[in-house]
Parts: sequence; structure tokens; C-alpha cells
Amino acid sequence: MSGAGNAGAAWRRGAGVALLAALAACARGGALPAGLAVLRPFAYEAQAGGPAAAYGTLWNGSDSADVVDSVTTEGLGAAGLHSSETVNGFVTMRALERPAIAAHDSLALAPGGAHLMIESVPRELRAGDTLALTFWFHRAGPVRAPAPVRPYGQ
Amino acid sequence: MRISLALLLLAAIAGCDRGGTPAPDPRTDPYAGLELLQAKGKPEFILTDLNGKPFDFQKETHGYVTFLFFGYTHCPDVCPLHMANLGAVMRAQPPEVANRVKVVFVTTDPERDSIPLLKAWLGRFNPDFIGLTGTVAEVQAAQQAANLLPAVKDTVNTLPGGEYSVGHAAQVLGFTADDSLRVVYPFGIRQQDWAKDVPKLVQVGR
Repeated sequence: MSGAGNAGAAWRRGAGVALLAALAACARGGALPAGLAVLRPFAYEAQAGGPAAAYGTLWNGSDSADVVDSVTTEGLGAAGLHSSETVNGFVTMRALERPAIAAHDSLALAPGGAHLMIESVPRELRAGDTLALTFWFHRAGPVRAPAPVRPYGQ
Repeated sequence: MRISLALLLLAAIAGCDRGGTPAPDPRTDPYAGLELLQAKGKPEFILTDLNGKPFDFQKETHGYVTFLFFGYTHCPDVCPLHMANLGAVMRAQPPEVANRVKVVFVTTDPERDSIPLLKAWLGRFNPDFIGLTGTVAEVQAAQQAANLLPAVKDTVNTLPGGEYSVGHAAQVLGFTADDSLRVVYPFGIRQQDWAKDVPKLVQVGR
């Protein structure tokens, strides 16, 4: 074999890089939130009636572990956290039931891995739209995450 | 060392391919995708295209660089990202390259993916892409012909609204014009990777 042997992990690395960039900004005098936050949320375009996926990094800047109880959308219907897993080139998906995030830790939602799945969007999602998502944490309560819609692959 | 020898052998075999243009030397100019140590043949199967007509995969794609992917339209990201990336890269190719490439998407969810739905979904990425469907058994046989694990409808981990997901092979298979499977593209491959490989693949086996 030659070439991009680890290409499948590239997206997840991208999410890690996003978090590292945020941490670096913090070191330069910026600051990661002290509480719960959804860093750099985004979603991809989607067809009306089809599923949509949203991503970002769930950051727990508090001193206690927290749990994502649920995620709600405004006007887009049911949403849940899922994880795509690829084993030997075969990808399957399973629900992420109330994932816990340790204090000062994060959970990356990235294409090909964990993601927020909106089961069936009632309207087409176009690049430039913004989805109003709310992540409901067990301790911290609701955290809003306005997710801009990107063209696929960007 | 064994890998290097195998790559040398592959280069030698590819160079002798039916008198065609030698493949790029993988030692100095590797593909962005995963190059097989030994090229494999093109699968034989007949499915139904989006006009409702039989589509003989081997016959219809003979002589073209062919990218074959098995996925479904309710797929959250792997399938649309593969198709979107390929669609964008193919739109950017000059006609002398684009006209030598066929992209074939086979639904692994024929019960839910109607022909109109497939047309609308695939058309978003590139209207030139070829969509195929069939009975569950036909689609399963096509995957087996391509040496892929057949897709599995997951009715255990159903989604809150009752929808189901489908486990399926995540890679795009890349065939050269001599009907050889040479490069495999796992999920995570980027547009710049496709942009690098598409013109190179067109040069092979002409």
C-alpha cells in the first residue's frame, strides 16, 4: 500500500487540531470558556426529508464531569448523538447514549466519527444557513450552538 | 523490504499491461489513495440505472477510469462526503480527463432509496454520476462480486424517529481503463487527494 494510509482518521484529527488551535489561542491570552461550550459548530448541506449531520467540539471547562442529556433543534425535528465506526473498511453507526465529558476535557464531533444526527430535516439546508442547536447538559443545562451550514467537504 | 519488492513487481506488471501506458512509479509518485499491491479485476454485475434500464457494470464502464461506491442516501456523512468531494473534483477536470471517468454509486438501501430520491440526491453532487439500484439480493451480489462485505440494514440501533442506518463498505474503488482495480479510497480522502489521482489514473492502461 502507499499514500494516505490514515486518511480515515483525518477528519477526527481535524477536530483535534481545532481544539488544539483553541487551546493555543488560550495560551496566547485568549480563553477557553470556564463552563460548557460547543466550539466551532457546523453542519453540512442536506436535502429536505433526508438526514443532516452537525459537528463541533464539546468542551467541558468546568471542574466537574458532565453528561449530554439531549440535543434539540429549532424547527428541524429530532436529533441525537451518534457515532460512525469504521472497522476493516466497514462503517456502522450506533447511538451515543448520554456521553460523559470529564472536567477540562472534550468530545470531538467530526465527520466519520461522533456526530449530531438530525434524522429528517423538513427543509433543504443550504450553505449560509445557520442551525439553532441546543445541547442540554445534565449539570450545566442548555448550551446554545449556532451551527453554520457548509457545503459538503469544506 | 518485502513491500518495496512488491511495489517494484507491481510497477513492472503495470508497465507491461497490454502494451498500455505504464502506471506512475509508486515509489516516486504514489497515489493519494491506497494502491493495491496487485491489481484486481473489475466485478461483473447487472443492476438497474436511474432510467429504469439494465446497467451492465463491466460493459458500460469498459475503457473508463471508474470509481465505484456502495452507499445510501440516508447516510449522515460518509456517503455524501465521498460523492461531494468526487463531484467537486470532477467538475474541475478538463474535458479530456472528465470524459474518461465514470462515477458509479450503488445504493445499499434499495428499499428506501427510490429512483427519484437517488436522482435528486446524486444530482446534487454531479448530474453525470451514475446511480444504480436493484433488489436487495442483486445489490448484495454486486457487493460480493466487488469483494466487499455486503451492507447490513441495522434494525437494532434504530434512530429515535424509527429510521434505520445501514452498515456498508466505506471505501471507493478506483478502476483504471484496463478494467483493473488499482487504488482504494477510504473515507477521509480529501478533494486534493482526488485531484491528484484522477488525472494520473486516466493515464494508466489506455
